[in-house]
Amino acid sequence: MHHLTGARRVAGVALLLSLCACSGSSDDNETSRQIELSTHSLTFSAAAPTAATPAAQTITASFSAGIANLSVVHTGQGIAKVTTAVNGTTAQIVVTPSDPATIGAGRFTGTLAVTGYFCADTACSRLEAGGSQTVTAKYQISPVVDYVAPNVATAGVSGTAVIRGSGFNGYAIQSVKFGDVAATSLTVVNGSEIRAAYPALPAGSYAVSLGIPTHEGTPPSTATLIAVDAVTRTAQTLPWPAAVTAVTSLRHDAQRDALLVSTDIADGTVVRYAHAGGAWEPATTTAIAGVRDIALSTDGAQLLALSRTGLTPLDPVTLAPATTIAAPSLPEKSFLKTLAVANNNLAIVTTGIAESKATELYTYIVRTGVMTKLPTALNNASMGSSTNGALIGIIQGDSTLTTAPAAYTYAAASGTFSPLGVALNQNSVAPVLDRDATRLVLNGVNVYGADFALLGKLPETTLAVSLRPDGKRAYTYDSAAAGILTFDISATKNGAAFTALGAATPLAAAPGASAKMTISADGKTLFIAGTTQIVVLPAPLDP
Amino acid sequence: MTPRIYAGAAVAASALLCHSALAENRAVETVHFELGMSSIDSDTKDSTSNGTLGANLIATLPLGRYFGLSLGGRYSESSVRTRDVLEDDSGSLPGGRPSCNFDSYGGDASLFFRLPTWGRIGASYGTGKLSPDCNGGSLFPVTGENTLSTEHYRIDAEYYLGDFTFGVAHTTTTLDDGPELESTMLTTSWYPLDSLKIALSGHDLYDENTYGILVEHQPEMLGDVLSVRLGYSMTEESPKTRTFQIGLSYYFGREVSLKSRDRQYR
Repeated sequence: MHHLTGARRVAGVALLLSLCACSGSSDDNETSRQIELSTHSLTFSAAAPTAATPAAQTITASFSAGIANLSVVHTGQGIAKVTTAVNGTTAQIVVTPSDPATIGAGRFTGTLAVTGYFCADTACSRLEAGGSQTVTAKYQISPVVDYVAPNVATAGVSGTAVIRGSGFNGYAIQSVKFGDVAATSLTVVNGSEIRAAYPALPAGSYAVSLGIPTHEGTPPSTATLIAVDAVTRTAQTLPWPAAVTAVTSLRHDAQRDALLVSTDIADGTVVRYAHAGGAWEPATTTAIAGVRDIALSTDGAQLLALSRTGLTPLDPVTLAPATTIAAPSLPEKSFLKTLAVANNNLAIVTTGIAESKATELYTYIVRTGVMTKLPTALNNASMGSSTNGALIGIIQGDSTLTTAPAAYTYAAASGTFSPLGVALNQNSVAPVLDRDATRLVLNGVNVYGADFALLGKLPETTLAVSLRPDGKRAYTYDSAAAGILTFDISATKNGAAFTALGAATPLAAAPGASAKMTISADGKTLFIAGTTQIVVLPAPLDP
Repeated sequence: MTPRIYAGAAVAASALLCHSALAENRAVETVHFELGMSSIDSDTKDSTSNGTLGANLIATLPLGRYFGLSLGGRYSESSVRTRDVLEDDSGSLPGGRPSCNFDSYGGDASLFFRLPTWGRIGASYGTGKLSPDCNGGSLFPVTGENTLSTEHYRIDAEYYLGDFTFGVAHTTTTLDDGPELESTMLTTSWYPLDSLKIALSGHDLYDENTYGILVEHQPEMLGDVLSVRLGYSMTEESPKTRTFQIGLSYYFGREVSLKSRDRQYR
C-alpha cells in the first residue's frame, strides 16, 4: 500500500513536470495563425444589365510559412469566380464578378472569406482553422433607360409614355421624372418596361430618369421626351417632285414636323416635306431602289427604309443613307415587304412572295444594325404599329386563299407574336392603331378594342384609315364619299357598323390612287398621299 | 525543450533495457485489431469551425517476445462550417452557403520494444494525403496544388508506473517539399479503474502550447470489446482553438481490460 502511494506521488510530480515542459515555446520560426489581406472591401459596378462584365479585382493575402492550406470561400450572386495563386507566403486572390446579363440589375452584396488552415495534430492527419479574414464585395448593376415611346408629346397635353430599358425589376423604382417634372403615375410592367403618365408639359426636351433611392448615383438614361407645340396646318396639296405610280408608305415625323413618303419614283425614292413657319418646304428626295416601306426608329434618330432585299438607315432630316444591311438568307423570289418598329427600337420586317406562301420574318436591331431571320413565317404579311410602339398588328393572306388566315399581334413588352383570334384575308389597307394601342383596325374595316374584341365596322368603301391619337375617332378616306368620314369608335357597336358623324369632309383635291393616310401626333392634321399628290387636311371636328 | 525530452527518453529507454531480464510477459500478447471511429469538432475563435468524421483500423502484431509491430490506416472527412465567417452583420447569409471539405487518408507503421511491466519505446513512420473541395478555391501553399502529401517520423517512449503511464513522443512532419514541423508531446495517463483511463497531454506543434484531456472507458458490461473516448483540447495562442472529440473503438480478439490492452496488446 505504501508502495502504491509513493508511485502516485511520483506520477503526480511527473505530470506537473511534463505539462510545465510544454509551456516554454521557442521564438524561432514562430508561426502566426493570422492572415492579412490587402483590402477588406471590393466594389464593382456595371452601367446596365447588358454591359460588359466589370474587370476582375485582385486581393493579396499574406500569411506565415507554416500554413498548411489556404481556402477561399465566397457567397452572393455578385461573385462569379474566385481564383487563387500562391507565391511563397503571399497569395493573389482574383475575384471575378458575375456577368450582368446573367444576374440582372440590382445591388448585390457578397462575402469572401480567406482562411488559413494548420495541421491539427502532430501527424497532420487533419486540419483546423487558423485566422479567417473576410472581404465584402458590393456590386451595383444599374438599370438603364434606353427609350421612351412615343418620343414626342404634344405640349400642354398630358399623356402616358412607355419607357423601355433593362433592369427595372432589380430595384424598387420610386419615381420617374421627365426633366424635373415627376410622372403622375408609374407602373413597372416588367424588367424592361415602365408605363408612366406625364402631366401637361411646355414645349422642350425632357430627359427621362428613374428615381431609385437605393441606387448610388443617377441610373443611366438615353431617353428624351420631346414636347412640341400643336401645329395648325391649312388644307392644301403637296405636289410630287416627279411622277408617282405607287405610294408604299407615309409617315409623319412629329419631332421635326415633316412628312416622309416612300414612292416608286425612279424605281424607289424617299421623299421628305418639312413644315416650318406655317409653310411646307420643297420636297427633298433620296433614291432607295425598290423601297417598300419606311419607319422612324423609336428615338427618331433614324429613318429606316426597307427595300426588296435590305434595310437602309437614313438621316431623318437630310435623308443621307447609311450602309444597307442585306437580309440574311432571304429565300429566292421572296422580298422584304413591310416594316414596323417596336418601342424597344427593334424593327419587325415581314417578307412577301408572288404567290400564296408563308415566308419568314426578320428582326432588325436598330442600335446594333443586326438583321436576323426569325423562325416565324407568315403569308405576305403587312403590319401597322401603335405610336407608342407597344403593339404591332399583323395581317396576312393572298387573294387566292379560300380560307382566311389568322391575324397576329406582336407585343413589344414580351417580344412575342400571338394569334389575334381573328381570321381575315388581308386587303390593300394595312393595319392601323392609335397612339396607345387601344384600337386596332384591320383591312380598313374591322375595329377591335384593346382586348381584340370586335367593336364595330367601318364602311367597306374605305380606301385608307387613320385613328385619332386618343383612339376615340376613326377617319376614313372613303371612295363613295370622296372625302373623309369621321366615326366615333370610343364605344362598342358589338360588331355592327359604325355610323359616320355628320357628312364627309371634302379634300382640297383628290390624292389619286394607292392612297395612304396618316395623322399628326397632335391629332390635328390628316395627310393622304396618292399617286397624284399629297393632300393635307385639318382633322375634321365633331359636328 | 527538445534536449530535455531526448534526455527523458534516453533515461526511460535505459531503465527499460536494464529491467528487461525481469520481464514476465510478451511485448504483444497476441495479434490485436482495433477499429475506431471518431467525431472531432474543432472551433477556432473568429474563424471557421469544422467537424471531422473519421475511421481507422490498427493491427498490432507480436514480433518475438520483446517487440511489436503496429500497422494502421485511416480516413477522415472534415466539413467546414463556412456560415461562421460568411454571414453578414445581421446574421444572414447573402446567397447560398458554399461547402468546403477536406479529405484525409493515410497509414503508419510503428515498431516498438515493450516490457509490459515497465514501458515501451518505439519508432514510427507514416504518410498521408490531404485534399480539399471548397467552393471558391483551396490550395496548399507549399505545393501550389490542391493536394498535400505528408510524411512523419516519430519516436516515442512510455513508462508504466502503477496506475500511471508517462509518455513522451517527438514527431517530425514534412508537408511535401515544405518546411518540417517538429513537435513534442508529453502524456500522463491515469487508470483509476482498469477500465477507465484519464490522460492529460500537451504538445508544442507550431511552437504553440496545446493542452488536452482524454477520458477513455471500456465498460465491462459490453464485454471488454468496446471503448468510448471523450476528449477536449485547446490551443492558447491567437486565435484560440478548442477541440472536442468523441470516439468509439471496437477490439477484435482477446477480451481484456483497458489498462491491460494499452500495456500488453496495442
